[in-house]
Amino acid sequence: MSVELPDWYILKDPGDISIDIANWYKFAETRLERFLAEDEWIINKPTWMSDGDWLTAKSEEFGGHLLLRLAVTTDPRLTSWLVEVEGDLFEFRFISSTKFEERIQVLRDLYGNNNVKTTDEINDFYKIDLNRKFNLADTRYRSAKYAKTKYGSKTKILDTRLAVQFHKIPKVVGAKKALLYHGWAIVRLADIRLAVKREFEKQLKDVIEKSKALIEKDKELEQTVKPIKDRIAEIARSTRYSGDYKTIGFDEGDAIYTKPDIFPPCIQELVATLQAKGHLSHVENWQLGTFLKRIGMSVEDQLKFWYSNSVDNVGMTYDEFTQRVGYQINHIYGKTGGGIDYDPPSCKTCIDGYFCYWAHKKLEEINEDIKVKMADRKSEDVEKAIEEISRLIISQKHQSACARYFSLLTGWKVRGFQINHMLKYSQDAYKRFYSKKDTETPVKKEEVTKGKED
Amino acid sequence: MDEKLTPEILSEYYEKKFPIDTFMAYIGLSNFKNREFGFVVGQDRFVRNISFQNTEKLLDFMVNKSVKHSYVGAVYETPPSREHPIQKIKWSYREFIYDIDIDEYDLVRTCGCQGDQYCKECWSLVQDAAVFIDKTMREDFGFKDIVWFFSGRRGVHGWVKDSITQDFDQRQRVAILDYLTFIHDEKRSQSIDEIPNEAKPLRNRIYALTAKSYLEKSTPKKLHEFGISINKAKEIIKQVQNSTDFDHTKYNILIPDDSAVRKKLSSEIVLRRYPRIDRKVTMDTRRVSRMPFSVHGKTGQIAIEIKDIKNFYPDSAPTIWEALM
Repeated sequence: MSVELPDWYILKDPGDISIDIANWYKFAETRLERFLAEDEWIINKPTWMSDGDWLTAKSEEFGGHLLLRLAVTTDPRLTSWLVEVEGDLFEFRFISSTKFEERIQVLRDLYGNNNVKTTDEINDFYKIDLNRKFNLADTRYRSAKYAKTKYGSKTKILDTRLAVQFHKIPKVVGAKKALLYHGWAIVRLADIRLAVKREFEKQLKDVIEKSKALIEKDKELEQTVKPIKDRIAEIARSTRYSGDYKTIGFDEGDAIYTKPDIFPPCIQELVATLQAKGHLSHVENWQLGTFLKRIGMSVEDQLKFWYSNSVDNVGMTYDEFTQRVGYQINHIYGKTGGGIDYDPPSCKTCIDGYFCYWAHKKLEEINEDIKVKMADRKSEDVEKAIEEISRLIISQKHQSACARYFSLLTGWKVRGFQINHMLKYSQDAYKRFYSKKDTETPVKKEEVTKGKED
Repeated sequence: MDEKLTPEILSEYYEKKFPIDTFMAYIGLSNFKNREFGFVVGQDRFVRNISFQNTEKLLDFMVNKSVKHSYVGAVYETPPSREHPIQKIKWSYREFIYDIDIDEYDLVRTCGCQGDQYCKECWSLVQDAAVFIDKTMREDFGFKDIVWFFSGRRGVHGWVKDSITQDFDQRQRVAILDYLTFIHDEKRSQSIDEIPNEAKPLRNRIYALTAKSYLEKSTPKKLHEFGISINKAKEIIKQVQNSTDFDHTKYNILIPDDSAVRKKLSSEIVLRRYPRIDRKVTMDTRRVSRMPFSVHGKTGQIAIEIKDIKNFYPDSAPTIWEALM
């Protein structure tokens, strides 16, 4: 008997469902509230429920999700937020599903029908017994490892093995967490759950991107989804990094923005691009503007900064420029618009939709930049760091590449070996080079160059 | 190299002996005009971003320019040229290639050879590496069409020709490399990863192939350093040398069941004999690689196809002068 894709899998074609516009908002609101409450729920048809009631439940699930999809499609920040929360929910449902066949169907939908098999299918096809051939019985259940996760009670499920074509899960293969047999990666569910989640998120992002055209050509639809978009923006903001420059480790009264050497590489690159080309993309403007605000630059100083660097000011007096661009700067500071005090995006968000130096700049250019910046260092150390950084970039570990660069620059190791936020980078760089709290006198860069490499 | 590698000799080789049809059979005719080539010409000038309308024009170029070194690169959506360099055009595909060079083993060679030098003893490291990679590609990754070429000087190149590999992006190529990698920072710290339990075929292959090579060349005194008694060490070496079907099961029976001993020994086996791959060649999708059957401009040797990698020794590869005789 063939098993269909489960109804909790929101990338599935929902089939014929009709949604009353009045309920549409309610469904989307309900979904948002559940995300907010960190509620993770599964929809499965109870045996006692009528088909009609079940169709209504499905409409709520898919209708709510589809409205959220449409609402975020024109805003990369909101898209990232929705992809993240839907990804968490998907992961929970995928692991918690009681039917193994359902999981296989989901994997086949994500990776392609011919790229996923059960271990029984592999055994039948190759006329072998994987368990016996590789003595899999001697690999212990990983109860202790799982116990600390929210899936602690699902040890047996997480230890279940299945087969995926190796090139579909490169990270798992590279980490040697798969038993490879004729191109099939025989993996435990526990070892691919994150890869599966990432694939789901990637595909969800693609479908959201595709629905952008719907909104762009239908202004009425754009107005319809606007209340939900505003609501998502409100929620997304409240869950982002918060704090101001006084509380994140900079000394009061210190004009941090005059110390570009503590800026993370993404911001240094944006400043250099702005100075060279005279303009940035909309999201890059936002990234740079919110960063400068958080490190203490006033509205007035930002206006002067953009006026002196931007090509938008050609033929314009400062006052004219202020009148034209001032609204956007004031918006960043929450002095116009919704009155929201915005924070710069996290590294993960930058990688997905803003500018990440490690994710978006060419590897060769990065290597060249590092060589130039570290010209006074021992060339062997720099070469070694460049090789390590290159490996991390190629393995898509951009935040770790940033951490490795930070270590090269400062001689300090980064906890967790990854940078999660541009403010954290600057906070630590500030502590290293300038903070009076940690050092009586600022540590000179020249001294660091002779410091120990990690 | 006793004779001088003159432009006339090079032109003559490419005109009369270079097996262009066999070479084309390896890279395929489709999209030929969008394929990048690179050459060392004249006074050691390296030129790339070159493409040709057809194979005749490629051959004409090689003959007329008396190319010293010839390289073949990836296929792009449009023909690469100086006006449209590969950095500015869209990449389509490239062969999946391994490069094993003897100088990667400089820190663990005990024969005294360094750099480009090699002898029967240290060349066995390259032979072992190629056999190990070949077997892993076939048994673990399911590839079927793998060809080995001599690089012309100090190593060998493995071309995985299964069509699926051509489309692999850098992420997928790196994943395969990472799966195979146990030694990090090979020319400096040489840190060794532990052999994982989950990747059993790889682990079993290390115990069957790499361990055999190490143990049969070892001495009782050396094994004694890992905590194995001299008598047991003698027995291990003798049994391994006499075994024609050594595998991981025999390794497990033979080596004392002491986790500290096993851990130290397996790290030493990996350090001394495990394959060392030039990662950049495999992972860089825009790299050019030596053209099979071309001449190495420094040695005059031909980059021939290797039929029996286990027993191939560089001296058996013909030189351009032998080819023209």
